[in-house]
Amino acid sequence: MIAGIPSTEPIDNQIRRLRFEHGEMTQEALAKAVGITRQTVIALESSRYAPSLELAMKIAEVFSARVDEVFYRRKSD
Amino acid sequence: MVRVLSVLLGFLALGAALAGGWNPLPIRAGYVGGATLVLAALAARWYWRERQVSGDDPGAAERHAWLCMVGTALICGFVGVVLMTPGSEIHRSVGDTGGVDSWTMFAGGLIAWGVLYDRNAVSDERDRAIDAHAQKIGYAALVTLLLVLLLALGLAPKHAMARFTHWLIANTLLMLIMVAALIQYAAQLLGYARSALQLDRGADA
Repeated sequence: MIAGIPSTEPIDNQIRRLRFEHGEMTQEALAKAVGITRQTVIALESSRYAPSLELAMKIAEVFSARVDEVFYRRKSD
Repeated sequence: MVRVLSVLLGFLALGAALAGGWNPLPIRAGYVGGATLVLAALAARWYWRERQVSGDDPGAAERHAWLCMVGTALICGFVGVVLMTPGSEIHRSVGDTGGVDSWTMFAGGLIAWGVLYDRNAVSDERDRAIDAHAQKIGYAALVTLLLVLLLALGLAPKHAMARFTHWLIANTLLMLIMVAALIQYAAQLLGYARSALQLDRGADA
């Protein structure tokens, strides 16, 4: 996780898969749709950033999915 | 991270060298510094456009942090050496006190800002999180530096304080604010660098 967003359990997501399932949506298009930068989409997809609840809900809305279908906690062994 | 620290130290060294008398051109050090900032901005704009093709160019907030760090490092290096040079404590309204050169470099920084300005630039919650963390570090650095100066002013022997005129104290305070800002910008860029470690893995094809 990046500085400022303390977390011991990384938040993984299905954004990359969902983008391709939604007409191969580009990172730029998703960024514009939810009002963030393309760099943040890249950080989200590589699990380097845990989004706020508001952003998570916006992203889920773009894909017409529930938040827990897009984001999930990585299970530690 | 190496790149952030290299650029930071490089521009600090350039500012210090200009204040120390190194100037390869027959113009004032301020013009050399200001022109360097503008040329660096043009080079950065070209470099970031090249990286845009592969999708790993920095966002607007990161670009702004680069510009601020480079400009502040150059002026910090310059002012730091001017303040340490014997004789600088004598405030003069005319003559070469370094003030003209510092403000010329600042003007160069403004032009560099214009070169890199993007009217469509946006920042988001990730930028704000990184910025907030960097501001905490910058604030802690400023308080620490002020404490050091306070102790120096209060406890140093009288003969060592002879140089500390009002002018020098005022400029030292200004210098400490710039150093704290420099630490803040460096921390911000290190935050982005940490975040970008896996950039290639997540980038668009």
